[in-house]
Amino acid sequence: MNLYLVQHAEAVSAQQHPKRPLSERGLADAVKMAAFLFNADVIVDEIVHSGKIRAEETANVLSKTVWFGKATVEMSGLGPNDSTDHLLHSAQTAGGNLMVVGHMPYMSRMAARCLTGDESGLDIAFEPGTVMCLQRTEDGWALSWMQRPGMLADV
Amino acid sequence: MRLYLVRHGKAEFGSEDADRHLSPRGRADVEAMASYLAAQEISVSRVVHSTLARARETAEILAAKLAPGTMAKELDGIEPWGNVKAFASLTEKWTEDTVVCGHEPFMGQALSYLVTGNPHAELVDVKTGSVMALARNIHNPSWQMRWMVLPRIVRGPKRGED
Repeated sequence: MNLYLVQHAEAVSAQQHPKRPLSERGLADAVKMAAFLFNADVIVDEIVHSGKIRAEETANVLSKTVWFGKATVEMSGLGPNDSTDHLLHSAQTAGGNLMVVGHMPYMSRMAARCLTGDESGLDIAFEPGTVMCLQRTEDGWALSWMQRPGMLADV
Repeated sequence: MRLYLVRHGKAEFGSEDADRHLSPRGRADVEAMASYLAAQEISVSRVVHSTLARARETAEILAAKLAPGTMAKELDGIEPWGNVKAFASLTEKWTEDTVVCGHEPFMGQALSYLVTGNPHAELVDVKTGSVMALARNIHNPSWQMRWMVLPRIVRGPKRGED
């Protein structure tokens, strides 16, 4: 089972739009990442997002290439400073691959907790649009790869 | 500075302790990875490798693309069962971007040790030809995990080939 932790792509500022949808660049980055995931043969069984528009938009773009379902699902408890307990439990018991689109610092806390058992056990450089693939192993989690939009060619 | 930890490409079949060379697939993987990294405008000042042929060959391919005009150099102590702590203290002295080509379990343990202080944290599943990028700077002297790519995701799925 793979867990894909995704930070939403770049959003506009609150001054530009109070709900902070993806910026033009954020949308382009999400599209690049979707193309990359397609080429990497990534298929997931479920995509969840935090419910914030920038996370939902990112999830919807990625879902086009990695998922066969119809609508991405909002999951509560994925706010920037929420507890990682709920997601960790879901991921540990999930039968199939799960992609989660959320926010910093939640994503780096969750990644560090999976890998080291401690939310601050590891300094991980997420940037908007980054996808991290963690593999569930017999005795925990292992980092499989981590890709950021800046490392991808334009589509 | 940036530190790129690389596991050698897929090697020819042979006994575990033999000094094996890269297989054709391993060579193609490393060449694809080198082109990919060069396309991201990644360049380094130094490329080092273990004393074993498969790591040296990997380093030479990467050096040609990422460190033009620089020769890959042999570094003692990063063989599969090398001393991770000794390697970590060596990296303390480095200030220029460096590629290190080695083996499992050494590279995975080195990554775990550099970012968590525990060589046995088993953070990563390091496939052959994978590259792990770490960064540190004067404001943040401890290593930060930046990205990790492996040949399969750079080259795309096999789709029937080999």
